[in-house]
Amino acid sequence: MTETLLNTNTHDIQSARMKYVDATAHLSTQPNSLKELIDLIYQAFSTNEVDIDYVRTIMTNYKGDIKEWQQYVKFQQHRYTRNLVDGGNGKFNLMILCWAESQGSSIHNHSNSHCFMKCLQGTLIETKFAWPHGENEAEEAMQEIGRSELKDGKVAYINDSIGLHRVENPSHTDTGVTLHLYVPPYDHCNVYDERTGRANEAHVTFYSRGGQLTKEE
Amino acid sequence: MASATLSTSDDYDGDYDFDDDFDADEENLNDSSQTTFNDTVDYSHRNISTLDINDLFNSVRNPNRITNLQLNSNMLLTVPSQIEHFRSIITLELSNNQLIQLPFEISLLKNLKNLYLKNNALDDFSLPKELEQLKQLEVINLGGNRLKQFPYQLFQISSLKEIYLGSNQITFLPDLFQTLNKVEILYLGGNQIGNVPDSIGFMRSLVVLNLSGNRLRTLPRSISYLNRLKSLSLHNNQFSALPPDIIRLDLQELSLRNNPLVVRFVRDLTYDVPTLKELAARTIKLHRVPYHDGTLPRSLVGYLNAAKSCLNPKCKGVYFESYHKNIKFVDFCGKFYLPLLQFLCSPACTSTPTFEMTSSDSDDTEDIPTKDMTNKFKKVLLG
Repeated sequence: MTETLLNTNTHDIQSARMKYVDATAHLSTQPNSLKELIDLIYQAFSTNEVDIDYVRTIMTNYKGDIKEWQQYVKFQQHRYTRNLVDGGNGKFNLMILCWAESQGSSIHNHSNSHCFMKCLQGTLIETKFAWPHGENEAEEAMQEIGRSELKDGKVAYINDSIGLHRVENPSHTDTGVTLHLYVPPYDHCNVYDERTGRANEAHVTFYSRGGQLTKEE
Repeated sequence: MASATLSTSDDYDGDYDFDDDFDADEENLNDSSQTTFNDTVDYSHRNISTLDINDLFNSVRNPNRITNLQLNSNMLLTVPSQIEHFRSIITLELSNNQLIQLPFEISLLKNLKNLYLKNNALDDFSLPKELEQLKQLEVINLGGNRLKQFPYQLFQISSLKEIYLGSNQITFLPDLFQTLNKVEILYLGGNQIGNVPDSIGFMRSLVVLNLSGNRLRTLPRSISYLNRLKSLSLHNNQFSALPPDIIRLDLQELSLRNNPLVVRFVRDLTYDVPTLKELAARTIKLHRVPYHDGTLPRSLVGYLNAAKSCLNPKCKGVYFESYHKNIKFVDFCGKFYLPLLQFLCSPACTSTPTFEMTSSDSDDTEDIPTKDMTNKFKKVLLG
């Protein structure tokens, strides 16, 4: 993209540059540690724009040493756990989800937020569903629109315009751990009954924050 | 469903309760070069295919002091019989190897509490009969092996608290679970089990029951006796309805995804016309006609005594073989509908046609106290 500058006032050059240069171009794409990943995320969101491709790149490139995130890994017998790593000053939530054998989530939406999900350990299955039809009373089974496997550091992305999804650990012998980034954060979402498409609001809670167990129900 | 709270050290360290039994005497303190000061021997992740125990002995000063032996993530085909010399071990980690056989000497490890054998090649002949002599055994993980049967030895080990048998090829569960009354976690997910026996109801300490990924269509009514059960995983099965007694459980989690659960009441299921014997028996019971051994053949007395009550509380009727299955929808916390299977003595016993029972205002909800239901099943993963 080119633009002919009619005058060479530096301020005008700067603002022209800002229009065309990627806000994240100056940032590294190779976080070498969890701390660095978090720093890059903060910087990437220092404006109010979200560069999806950049976030996806750094999430993918983060190699993840178990020692870095071990303090957030907490398994529970009854359901998967959500463990907050960084509250992002309200701009984003970075968390680690721990899936014991066969544990899975309900089908849910993402409350108009972006959701990035990276597999740190084990194998997860993400099943995507189409939104149920309209407000009318007719109940019908929800339609599956895709299913993919997430392992070995792979990153998946979803938002409400793509659809709804369910995430589950299909293994009966091995646990799964995923790193999630939500922009902006949310504490309510809808959960859906696969057989009827009926939705109910759900309040999402954290099992731990910064490695400390919470008392949230 | 979940065994992960006591997962192996493959995932993360420091999850074991060591019984540190070393004395704080001078002798041990001088052995500062010994890495086994903390009573653990870690030979995991070393790609070893045979274990030279004598080698192991030579590098470990006091094998009798070792309480935790980590041999996971290697390529071991078996464990040498000299393992018995590690007399004090409490935890033996052999997951992620290629084990096809365990020596009977394993049963001589009298202090063994935790035996991890996940992801190996063990079959029904691999476990020694003598395994049942491990009277302190609390946790056994046999997930990811080639078992076609529930290992019978386990029924003899009443000290067991956690049994993991996920991802095997088990098709049948013997009706012998009454001895396992200390078991808190029973993981049977990912097998080919078609039926759950009644004796499961005697596992009074059970907190977590995972039956996901099997071929189950029903649960025994005795499931309602499990009053400590908090987590019931039934997803990926063939359930079309559940026994109504499930209401009585105080569950925190119930997973039901991927079952052919009836969405909408279609029609009453087929109703076999009762035999004359049954009709006569019903009349006798209904009108309380007295009978006893002296007036009737014993077989008929037995038959009459086996009468089952109609589940419709407004009906005093009984039934014998001929019953009418009725799918009743129960409203859980006003959110999802769960089809429950009720046995009623005749189609007339449905006080309202079932297809009308979709609102929580129907008078059938008198039958089950809804306040109790809202308190139970706090987080029901039905989706």
